[in-house]
Amino acid sequence: MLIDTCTYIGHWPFRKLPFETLQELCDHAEKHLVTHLFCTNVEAIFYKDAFLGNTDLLDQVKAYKGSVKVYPFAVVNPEYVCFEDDIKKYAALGFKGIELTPQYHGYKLGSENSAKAFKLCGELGLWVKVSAGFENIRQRNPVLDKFEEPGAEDIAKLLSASEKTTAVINAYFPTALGGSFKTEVDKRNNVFVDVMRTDSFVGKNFEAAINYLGYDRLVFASMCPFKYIEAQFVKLFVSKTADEDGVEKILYGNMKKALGI
Amino acid sequence: MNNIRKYYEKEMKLFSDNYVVNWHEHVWDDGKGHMNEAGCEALYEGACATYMDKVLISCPVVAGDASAATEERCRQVNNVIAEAVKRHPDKYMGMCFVCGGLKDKAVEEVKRCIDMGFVGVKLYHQYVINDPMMYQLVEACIRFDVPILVHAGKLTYQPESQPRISSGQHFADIGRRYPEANFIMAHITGGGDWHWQLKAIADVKNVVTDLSGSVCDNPVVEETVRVLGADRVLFGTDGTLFSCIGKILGSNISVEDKKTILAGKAYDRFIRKAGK
Repeated sequence: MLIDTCTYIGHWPFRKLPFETLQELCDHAEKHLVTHLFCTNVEAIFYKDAFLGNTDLLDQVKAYKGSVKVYPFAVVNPEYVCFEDDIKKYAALGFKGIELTPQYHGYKLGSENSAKAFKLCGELGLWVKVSAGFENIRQRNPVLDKFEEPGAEDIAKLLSASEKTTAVINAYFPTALGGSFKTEVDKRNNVFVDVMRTDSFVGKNFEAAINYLGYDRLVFASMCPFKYIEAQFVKLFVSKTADEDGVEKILYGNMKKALGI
Repeated sequence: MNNIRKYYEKEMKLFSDNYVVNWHEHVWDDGKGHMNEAGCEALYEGACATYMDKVLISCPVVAGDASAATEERCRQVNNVIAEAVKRHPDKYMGMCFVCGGLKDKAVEEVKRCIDMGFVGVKLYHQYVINDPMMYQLVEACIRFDVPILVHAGKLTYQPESQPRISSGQHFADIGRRYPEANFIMAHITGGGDWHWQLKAIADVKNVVTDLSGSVCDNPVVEETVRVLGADRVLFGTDGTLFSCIGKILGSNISVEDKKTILAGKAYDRFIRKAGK
C-alpha cells in the first residue's frame, strides 16, 4: 500500500505538465506502486466559479476503471458566492474533501469565511487540504502568477476553527510551520503534514520534521505531475533517521488509519 | 512496504552500478577560513549512501558585492576546500573560487589551486560572466584547460536579490566570444525560468549545464536533454540530494542518456587530468 496525499490533473497555465488526465495520472501512480491518491483539478482554481472544474474531476473519477483508489478534492473559494452551498453539494457528490488555494483567490486562510468553510467541512465529514504552492515559488510566472505561500500563522488560525475537521498540509517545510501551528496540532490527531520538500545529510530538514512533529503526523506526497515522485522514495529509504515503522507510517500507515481503510 | 523498498533499490542500481560524478556541491566555512566540519562529513556520508564516485566541491563567497571576495578571502575558502579534499580524497575534488575582478591575482589563485589538484574554477555572481572584467580570467582558464562553473539563473522571483547573476544570454555571449572555453551554466533547477536558460544556450555548444538545485519540476530533465543533448548535461546536487537523484531516476529519457549525465562524459577528461 502507498497513499499519495497530493496529486493533480488538468492544464496548468504557466507551463506544460507531462500528463494532465486522471487516467494518465493513475497509470503513472500505479507504475510507482501508489495504491491510493488524493487528487484535485488545478483548472478549477482558475475558473471564476470552480464548480464545473471540480465536477470535471468527478466525471474522470467515475470513468476511471483502474486499480488505484482516487479520493477527489474540490477547489473551494470561500469568498465566492454560495460557497457553503457548494461545499454541501461536494459532500453529497462524494468528494473526499476540499482544497483551499488562497494564493490564487485573494483571501487569507485566517479569514472569517475560511473558518466557516473549515468548520462546515468538519460537520459534513469532508477533509481540508492546503498547499504551499504547486511550483517552487522561484519558478512562478513573474507577470501572471503572484502567489505567496499561505502563512503559517494563518494555517494555525484555520485549524483553530474546528478540531473536528481533518486537515492535510502539503508542500511546507514542517518545521517552518511554527509554534502556533504546533500548538494546534498537539491538541488533536487529525492534522497531517507531508515531507515532500525535506532533504537529509546536507540540509537535515527531514530529520528535523520527524523530531518536530513525530512520525504520526507525517505523510507521503508527490505533487505529481508537477514533480518527480522518485525523490520521495530516495528520501525515505536512504535516510537512516527514519526507522522502518516510521517509514511505514509515512508511506501509508497514518493515512490508512485516518481514512479507516 | 517491502515492494516499495525493492522498487527503490532497483531504481538506485542506476547509481550503484554506474560511475557517478557530482559536479556541483559545497563545503562551507565560518566566514573566517575555518571549515564547517559537520557539513563536510554530512555531505560525504550522503555521497557514500547514494553511490557517488566523485563530488566536486567549492566554497564560494556568496556576497554579490565584489569587494567581499578579496584575494585573501579567496585563498581562505580554497584552502578550506583543499582541507576537505585531503580528508576524503576518495570522493572529493576541488573547484577553485575566485572573483574575476581580482584580475592577475585571480589567475594566480587559479594556478595555485590547479597545482593542488583542483579540477576547475567556480564563479559566483560578483560579475555577470560576459562582463569584460572576466575576460582575463576566462582566457587563463582556456590556457590552463579547466572548466568554469558559474552560478546562474533567470530569476523571476525577487530578481533584485542577485542583480549580477548570469542568465543564459550572458553565457551565450561569452560562449560565442570564447569558443575554446568550457562553461558550466550552474543548476538549471536552482530556481528561476529554466526554459529561458535552455533556449538561450541551445546553440552554444561550449556551454553545458548541471542538474543541481532543489527544483524538481517534471519534466525538466527531459527538456534539458531534448534541447541540449545528454552530453551537455552534468549531474549535480548543490545541497539537495534527494530531489536531484529523484529527478534523474524519474526522468523519461534513455538509460544510456542517464549514464552519460551521471558520468559527465563530456567533462570526464577534466576529472582525469586533475586526478593525475
